[in-house]
Amino acid sequence: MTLLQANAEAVQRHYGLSDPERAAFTITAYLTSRGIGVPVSPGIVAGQPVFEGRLRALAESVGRGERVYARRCERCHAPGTVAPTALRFPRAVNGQLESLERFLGRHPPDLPPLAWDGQPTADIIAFLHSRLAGRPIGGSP
Amino acid sequence: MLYVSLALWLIGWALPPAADAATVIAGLVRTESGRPLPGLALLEKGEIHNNRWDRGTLIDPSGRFRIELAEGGQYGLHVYASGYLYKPNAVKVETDKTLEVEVVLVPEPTRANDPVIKRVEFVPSEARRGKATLVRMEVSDPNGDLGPQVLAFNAATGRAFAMAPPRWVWSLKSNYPDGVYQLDVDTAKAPTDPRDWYFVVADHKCNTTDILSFPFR
Repeated sequence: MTLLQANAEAVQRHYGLSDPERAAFTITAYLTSRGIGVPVSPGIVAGQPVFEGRLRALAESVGRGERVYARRCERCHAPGTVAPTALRFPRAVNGQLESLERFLGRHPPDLPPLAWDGQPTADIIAFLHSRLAGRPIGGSP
Repeated sequence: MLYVSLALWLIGWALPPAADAATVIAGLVRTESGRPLPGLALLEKGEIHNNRWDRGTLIDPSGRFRIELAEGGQYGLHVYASGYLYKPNAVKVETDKTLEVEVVLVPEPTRANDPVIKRVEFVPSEARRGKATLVRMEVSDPNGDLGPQVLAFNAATGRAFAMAPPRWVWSLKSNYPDGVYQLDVDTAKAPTDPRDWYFVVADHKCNTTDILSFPFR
């Protein structure tokens, strides 16, 4: 589950919004801005306990993500080149807000879209972030 | 001298672990301004919000609590104080070590959204006559967003329980119904004393009842 997806679930549960994406997006953008410059550390938060079960689930997600990436993305984009661009999200393009989840969901256009709140999307992002460990959040790709 | 040292080493080796080798979560609960808060600290065993309640304790007037655990691992620590939003916290306790935490609670901005405990009663079980007591608690929520945290705590045993809802609920994330929640307490070996019991309810938005204790009014 990505930060956006977790925020969406929390917003939906706590406030009963039928469409939680926009609220989740703004919360995610705010939280991401608070973390600018902090090194990416998938599954681990500084000062917080490390939960092995969560790390195992994340490793499984990374494995699935690598396979989904190979099917959907790798024919055009080497993961080493693409992964750093994940640090640019969430972003605003021509005044439109865009999450990495939405961006990935409609690429490539010749394949069925992925749901922004679905597991395959979370898996691709887990795979991309696994290649970014140590890079600063919000840093230049 | 060598023999004395050897004897001391053997004694130390043979003795059970010292008292400080217990697996413990302890902590201080306070307001943002530093005022200590009494209340309840309850633990879920495993992933937080799994609703598998385990141990608990009362938080004393100085805001201190201490829970000794059978084993280390991952726990969900939930802290409750009357008039404050409850606070969940995922923690990891190492075996034979003490985890110290500090919990800051924020006052509820309004009590209008709080769940309401209308009634608590202890009745002998008809099905398990003489062997069980049913604890029944009638709960309602002004916003209809009760969650699974309809909780009972037995201070005599240190056990915390989620009470069973009046009807089946699809998932822990669902809104739970108003009505009479129930807990089946095994009293085959010894009766239970209502004075040992404490109750608290929190909804999906963290609105929390006061902690209810005997005489449950």
